[in-house]
Amino acid sequence: MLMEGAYSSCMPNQDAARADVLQGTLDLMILQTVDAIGPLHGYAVAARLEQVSKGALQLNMGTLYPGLMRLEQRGWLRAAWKTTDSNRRARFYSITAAGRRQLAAEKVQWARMADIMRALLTGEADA
Amino acid sequence: MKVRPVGRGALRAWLGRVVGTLSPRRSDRDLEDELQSHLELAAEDARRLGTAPADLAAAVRRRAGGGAQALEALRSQRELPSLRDLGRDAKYAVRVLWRAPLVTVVAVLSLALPIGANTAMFSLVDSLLLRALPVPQPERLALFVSSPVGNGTWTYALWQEIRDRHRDLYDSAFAFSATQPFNLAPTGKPDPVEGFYASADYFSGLGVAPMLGRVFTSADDARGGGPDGPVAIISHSLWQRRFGGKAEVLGQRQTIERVSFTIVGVTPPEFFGTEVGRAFDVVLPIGTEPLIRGDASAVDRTTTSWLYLMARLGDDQTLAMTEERLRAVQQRLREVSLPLDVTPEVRANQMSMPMAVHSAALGTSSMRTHYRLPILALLVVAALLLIIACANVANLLMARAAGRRHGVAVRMALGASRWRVARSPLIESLLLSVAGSVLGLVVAQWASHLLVRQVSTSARVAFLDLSLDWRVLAFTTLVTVVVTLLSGTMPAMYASRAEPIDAIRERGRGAASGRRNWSGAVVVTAQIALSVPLIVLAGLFGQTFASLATLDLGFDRDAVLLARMNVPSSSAVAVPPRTLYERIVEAVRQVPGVSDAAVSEITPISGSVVDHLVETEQGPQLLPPQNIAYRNVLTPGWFRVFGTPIRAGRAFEDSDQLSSTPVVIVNETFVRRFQLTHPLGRRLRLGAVGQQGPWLEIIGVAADAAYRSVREPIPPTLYLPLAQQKEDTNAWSMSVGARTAGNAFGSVAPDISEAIGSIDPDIAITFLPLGQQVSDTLVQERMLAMVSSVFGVVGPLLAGLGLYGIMWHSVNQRRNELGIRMVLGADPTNVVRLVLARALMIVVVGIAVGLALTAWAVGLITPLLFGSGARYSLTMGFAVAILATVALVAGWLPARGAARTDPVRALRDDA
Repeated sequence: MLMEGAYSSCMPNQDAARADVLQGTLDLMILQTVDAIGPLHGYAVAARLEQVSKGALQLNMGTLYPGLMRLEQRGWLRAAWKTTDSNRRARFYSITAAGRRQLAAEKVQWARMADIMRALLTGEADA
Repeated sequence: MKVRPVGRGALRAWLGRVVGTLSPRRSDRDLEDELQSHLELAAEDARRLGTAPADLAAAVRRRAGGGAQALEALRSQRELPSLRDLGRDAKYAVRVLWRAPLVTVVAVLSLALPIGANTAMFSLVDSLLLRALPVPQPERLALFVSSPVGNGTWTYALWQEIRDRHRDLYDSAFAFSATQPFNLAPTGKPDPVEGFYASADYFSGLGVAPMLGRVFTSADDARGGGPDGPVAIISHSLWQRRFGGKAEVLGQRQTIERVSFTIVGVTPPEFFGTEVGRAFDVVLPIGTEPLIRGDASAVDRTTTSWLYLMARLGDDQTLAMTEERLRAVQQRLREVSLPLDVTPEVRANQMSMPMAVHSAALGTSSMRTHYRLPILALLVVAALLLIIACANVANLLMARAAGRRHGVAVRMALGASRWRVARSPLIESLLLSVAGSVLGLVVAQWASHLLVRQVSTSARVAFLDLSLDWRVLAFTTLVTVVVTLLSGTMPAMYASRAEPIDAIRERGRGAASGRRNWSGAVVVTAQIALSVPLIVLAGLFGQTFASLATLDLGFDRDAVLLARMNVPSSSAVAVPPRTLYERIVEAVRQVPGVSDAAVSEITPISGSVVDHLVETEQGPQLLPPQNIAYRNVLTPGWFRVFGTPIRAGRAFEDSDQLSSTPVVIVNETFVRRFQLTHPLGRRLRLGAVGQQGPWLEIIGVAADAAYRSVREPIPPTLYLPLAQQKEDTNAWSMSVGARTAGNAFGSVAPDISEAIGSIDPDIAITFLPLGQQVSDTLVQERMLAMVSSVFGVVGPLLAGLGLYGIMWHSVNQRRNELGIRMVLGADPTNVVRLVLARALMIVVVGIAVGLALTAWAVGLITPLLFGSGARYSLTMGFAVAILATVALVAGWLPARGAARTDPVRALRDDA
């Protein structure tokens, strides 16, 4: 719930610290999606994320495309114009080797953070 | 400021943006297309899910909203806004520089000269010390060194031995002689070009393919030439100059040292031989050397070392490994080269000299040995000059930044970042130094060629490949960056210290102005300090050259014309050499304008030496090298011609003949060395123990005179009469010294040539005034004196300009205060004193620091100085005097201006 609200209102001028955290999360989600199902255009990425989150995560274009461009500029994604199954031209993104390394690193970090949060919120650490 | 995650990814993103700004590859169109396709895909999806056409647009908007924001975000993310601003700032800086064209031109010129000097020095360093030979895989080339003393050359016999019996040491090996003059004229006036002898594999070993024709074969290198007769390979330059670059040159005959050679090849234009510092025009096989030198051929002498030995190592051979293997066979090699009759001591000494293998990637070079220290010293001096010039630009930009302070404060109050305002002085200094560097490259090309010409002499033409390479360009780029930072950093820091609050403060009385003056004073103090070594070095190098050039050498350097003769062995058989030379002397004495003439084996300061072991009768038993004396063989009248006085006894006379008592004349140093209290009538003999010649009677003592070099202490010298020499190896290349009235060398030379020709038309003659032969050995000192004097003048001038600049500025800023003082009754003289005191303080501190710096620097260049011990402090005093004068002028001009200020006007202007 929190995520949906956050993404739909994510604007460039938002509070820097919070934006960075969310930006990181978005990067991870896009990288994972592109890595899992290969070259995808922007709409397919958004649709896939919506599907996986059962509609909870609806990325608007103002969030999705700056994210894709950022990942492309960092060399984690590369893009090319191709034709879709329905014979439309679209810009397809695929993951690079550097992107795959980044994804692996972020996954580890995310898992560690999730463990910490779980321990903190359930009070396991005390036991 | 937006916080960005730091890391490689961030760097790459930033680079992506830079590229995006510089080349907007992803056009707006492309971005729009992508967003459009997103909308279409969303619509298609919605249709597939069965959304009613009426609700379609709303559904798409809901699913894919934010298109406008997306486009805006993408656009701003695509490029760096700061790079756009940079372009604007650069345009602004160009306008600022354009508005004061005179100041800009002076600043650029004052940078171009030192940058040019630095680049010129570096291109000499590059071509002499850093550049590899232009051959494939130069790093595999090795120089075999016969002994750690001398130039490491080999005898012909040793070269043959290594070539034929030690092939396991290398992949291929080749030998070559030092570069030397060769006469191309068949008869008459000599036409000298540079050249060298090389073995058959020289070109193939180096990997240099001929541009035309072929290289040597081993048949060519056979003694006296191969089946094609004597063959020669010529340089691209000679081919262009003499043969018009035509292919018909192959097979043409060319006379070289009176021997007819067939030209079989032309070398490529980028190949200048293996001796860096010299170029060549002809290359001859070593086997043809006996044809040219006849009886004096070095090929036949087992004791003459004259060949450099270079090898190309195999892929699996290292320098260290090859050296080890060479030393393993050293004993056997030395046996080959030693004459049978050497003493056990000499033999043991020779055997123990370790042979060595050095890298030959940079070629061989005697110039490198002589000029490494001078060029590096000049590079450092040029760097000092550059720093002084940078300081001026820094002060100029400082003054500009101070003038703009109010505007900067306003900009900051309106939200400009500190970096944005700090960088405008940096951009200005970048523009100035780039302009200075471009101009400096032109200066450098001119200056480096000039310097190489300066160290050329009639006998040795210096040549360096000074084409720009990546190292020189990288150096100049580095200099540009350093200059930008040196002259721009301080003003940038000053500008960035501006506070928005200054915008509403009163103009002209910034709180930081005291601090600014302080930093300006530091800069000028540094300039003065760095000027001290520049002046002192100029003084020391100037004195070194002057004292060498005017040193009393023990002979008249100005009144003698030397005619070096090369007598072809074929023509001289009719008469013994002494008879031939007596006739020549007689003929030359008849030439109008020649007052006297004499022949000698050695001419002073020619660089040649003949020496002997000497034993005096009942004298002290001296051991080598104490008992070695240099000798010269002369005709009577030689002392008169060269102006060397006879201190006791007599000079040689015509009566000293083969039949009379063998006689000798010694110099004063000889008398002291051999402790001859009453030298006249004493006897001495020459040669190694057991092989001495006859006893010679000392009939005269000559005054000390320089023999080989003006720098060396005068050696013990003995003179022998030519008439008493039965055999002489140098008989075919002696020199006539002609004393001329009023040194009209140009006009008497043809007559002398004709007079000698009348005795033997085949003798080749090379003329050189004795004074020039001496000054040719001083080219290094002359070059150092010349360059350092330019630096020594320009440095203090720039420093004076800097001092004037900040004094003027500080007077200008204090006009208000000075005006009040004068209104209150201060004498104008007091005002002058006030201003001058400040200038003086800067100069005193600067000189003190500079003297300390100089004391240290002079220690490094002592080997380049001659006889300046006592003059050193004098030169220091001279430097202090010059700088004090410069300071007085630079301080007095603004001070006088201040004293003339109308107090009332000064106060009104400020209000």
